[in-house]
Amino acid sequence: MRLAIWVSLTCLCVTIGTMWMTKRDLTRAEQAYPPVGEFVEIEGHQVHYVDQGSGPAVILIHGASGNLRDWTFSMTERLATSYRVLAFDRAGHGYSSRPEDGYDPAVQGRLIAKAARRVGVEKALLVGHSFGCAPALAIALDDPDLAAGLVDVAGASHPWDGSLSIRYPLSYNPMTSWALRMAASLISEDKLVDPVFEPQATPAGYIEHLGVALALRPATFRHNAEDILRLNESLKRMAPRYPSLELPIEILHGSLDDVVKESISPRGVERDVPHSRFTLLDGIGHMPHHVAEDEILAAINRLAKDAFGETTK
Amino acid sequence: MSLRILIGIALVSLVTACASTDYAQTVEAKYPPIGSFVEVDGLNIHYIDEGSGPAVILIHGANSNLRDWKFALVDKLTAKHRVIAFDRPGLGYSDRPAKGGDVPAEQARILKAAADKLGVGKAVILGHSFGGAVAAAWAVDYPEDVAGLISLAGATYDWGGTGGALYSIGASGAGGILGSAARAYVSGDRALGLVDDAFAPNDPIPGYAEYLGVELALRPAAFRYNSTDINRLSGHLATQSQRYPEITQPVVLIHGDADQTVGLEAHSLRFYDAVENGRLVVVPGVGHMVHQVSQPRIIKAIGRLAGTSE
Repeated sequence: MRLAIWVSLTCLCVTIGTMWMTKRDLTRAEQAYPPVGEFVEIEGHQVHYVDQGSGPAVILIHGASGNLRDWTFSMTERLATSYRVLAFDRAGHGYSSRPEDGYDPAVQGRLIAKAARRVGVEKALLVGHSFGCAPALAIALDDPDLAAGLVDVAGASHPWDGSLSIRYPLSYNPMTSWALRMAASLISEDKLVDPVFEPQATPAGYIEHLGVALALRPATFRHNAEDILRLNESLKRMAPRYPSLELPIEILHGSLDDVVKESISPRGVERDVPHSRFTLLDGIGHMPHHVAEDEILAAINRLAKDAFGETTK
Repeated sequence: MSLRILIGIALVSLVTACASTDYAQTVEAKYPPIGSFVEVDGLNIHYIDEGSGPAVILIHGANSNLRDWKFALVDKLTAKHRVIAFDRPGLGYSDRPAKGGDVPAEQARILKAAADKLGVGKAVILGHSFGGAVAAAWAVDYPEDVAGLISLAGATYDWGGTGGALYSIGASGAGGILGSAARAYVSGDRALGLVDDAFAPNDPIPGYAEYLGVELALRPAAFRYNSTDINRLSGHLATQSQRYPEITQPVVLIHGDADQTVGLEAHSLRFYDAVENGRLVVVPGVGHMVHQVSQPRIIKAIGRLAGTSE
């Protein structure tokens, strides 16, 4: 009897402690990394975006565990000298809210496309990094008038064989998600980010800028896991449609990218999309948009020249 | 023109001629042939031929010679490949044909005939810079003997210009005098410095400039041929590049994005778009000497095309 009381009390303490820490993490994350852009409401959901510069429009879509701050670290500023650049939080990440089927790149892409149109964008170049490439491709498939060209940066585009790490189902499951999330919170942020940049070093100031804590908020943490868990089924629906794409696509992929394998997604886009150009970036890992930024800009400029004429530099 | 000026020119020419002969002899003593010779159409073609396995043919760029390859690449390939490097006609120790020597396709024809005499057969053809133009012509004209094409910072498309004033004068009748001036200017350490500069923005590789023998390209005849090659290249490429869509063999284009001599977008990107089976590898931060700076990537590409990679 006494044991039962102790066990119950321990459980209660753990639960209260966890709830308190969760609430504290959430508050701290949002205090430290408040929204940096504006909001627009689409289909009853808030979409958070930044909108800088003027000229032909470029839409930037972040990868897994990220948010639009990945782009505002440096890329938005460099692009804003020649373009109107818009970076969006994907549904369920950063400060964009999540519909029920928000894991689907087609839904994420639709919300972004509608938000872009709402703020007066009629035609844009789409740039998607990693997971963010899937919603970019979804926009190209579903809203071809908006998509003037696409830059696929280390993008996930094609279904793959094999299973995901057990941590994704555990991170998604409401019974276990908190434990994984707390475990992740205990790991120092550079240990979470550095492996993604390898073999390059994480740029100084990037971690402080990104706001890893935003991805460790309880709901975001589960959304991210759900995105990844269901990505393969989403890509299985999308991939057969790629041969119908008429827009030009530039694919840039690091030769040492261990996150997205060259042979499946990037080569798949090169194979399936008629107007595509694949550039292998020698010696680069999964983050070319930070460590080979000039290559990404050059690709954007090339596409802009085709899509919008000679107005850009 | 006054008599005095004519006499002046005559005297300068005489001195130049004597000095040139001396210069050529000095340079040739310092950088003697390191390979063997094979005769094609009465022309001596200088080559090295080492190792065994699937064949790889290496074609050097402007201002250069086959030592460029021997410096660091050849020995890394010989365990698995038969490696043949040629001096292009008119450079190093290969003779120049009386006509058409500046046409990349003619250089390819001569070197292909030399390879045939050596019994090479099917090979991976690899060219750097101007050598990329020759390698591309080779792939267009002799597809049956090409296992694959590798263009390293290759000049493959017309860029609508010449190589600049230096090479225009060098290619003209005044080339001899300019050559002397150039030799006087770039003799000794300064020549080595110019080779080092070609690596920018990368650091020069220690020992490379001393090994290459850039002075071989400053000998009077070689200087004129080299200048003519460069000066007329864009025009030849305008014609040649129209046939690239015929290439069905695998093509690997390796190009530094910091190349200020042969631009990535003006050459390799266009080549990639023209061929059916291309692979574009951009090396961030690397300049025109990608063939010296990024050898692991090049060896990987050779292994893939030659079928020798594990």
